[in-house]
Amino acid sequence: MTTIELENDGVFRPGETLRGRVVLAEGVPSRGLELRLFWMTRGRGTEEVGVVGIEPLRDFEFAFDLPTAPPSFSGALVGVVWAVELVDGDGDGEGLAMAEFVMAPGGEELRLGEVAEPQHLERRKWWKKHL
Amino acid sequence: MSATSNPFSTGRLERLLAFEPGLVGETWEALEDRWNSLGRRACVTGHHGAGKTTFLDAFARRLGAPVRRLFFNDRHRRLNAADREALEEVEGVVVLLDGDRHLPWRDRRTLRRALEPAAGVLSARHRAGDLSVLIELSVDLALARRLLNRIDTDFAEALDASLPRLFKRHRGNLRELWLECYDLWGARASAPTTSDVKTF
Repeated sequence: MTTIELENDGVFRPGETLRGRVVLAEGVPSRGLELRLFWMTRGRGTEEVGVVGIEPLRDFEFAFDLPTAPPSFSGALVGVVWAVELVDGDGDGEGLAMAEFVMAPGGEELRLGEVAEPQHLERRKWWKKHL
Repeated sequence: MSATSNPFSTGRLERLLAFEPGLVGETWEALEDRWNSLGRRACVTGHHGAGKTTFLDAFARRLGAPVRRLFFNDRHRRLNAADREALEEVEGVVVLLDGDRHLPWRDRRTLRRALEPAAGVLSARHRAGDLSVLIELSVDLALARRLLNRIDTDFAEALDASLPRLFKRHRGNLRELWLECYDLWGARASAPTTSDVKTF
């Protein structure tokens, strides 16, 4: 099975260098493979993806300079997950392996807390009171 | 409650619940034979949330050849410039249409003419109209239960008694059912103890 192994247990801070290595399964040719660094949303709705970097697989070890945003976070409705994927660039773009990682200032995925009193409910109360 | 760990997140479901012919008593070979016998001009029918788009996704992967996809819905009811540009390059490719019955008849006629050089046309619709049916998709409670078990066994067990009611409320629309499950899973996960959420 083809895998991607990341250093630092897959935890990085914004602006750091992401380092890792690709372990190809037996019989998988390394020609035409490329690595894609991207973030994606995950949650209650259609996923959005932002590709940040694409590098051809020259060596089995790789490095990407991470941007500063968006950080990994998770809320009730949506979160952002960072990942690096190995893709067959010459073929149909099929993903061969993917590794998710955390990119956040504190080294931990940011958690968005629940909103106890959402503003729109406050506004609704105000309208009910004044109409 | 966390979106990244919610088992009903949309992306996870798309990967986990990809169309499998066996779930509806079909095989890819039989579907491909029918597709060819229909002259590669056909439609997939079913009600809202029955899996038509999921079928198109799987069909595109199965074809293993270049496909072009066009989407139409309540907010996209006319052929726009991007659609017309895409239709200029359909020669030799299979075109997958999602919701083309939303188009007015004049645009449908333009579409039909533009698709003549395409290697195949498969449309996802509620009703067959002018195309032969490749497969008619429908969802029953047993299938919903099987899929729910695949998504999260523990949650499926907790929801088992309420599932018929939820299924009926959403009229078999799996997309809507999974969205409600997303919310219920979140509510259950953020409850102080599991005993606080005994029933759904």
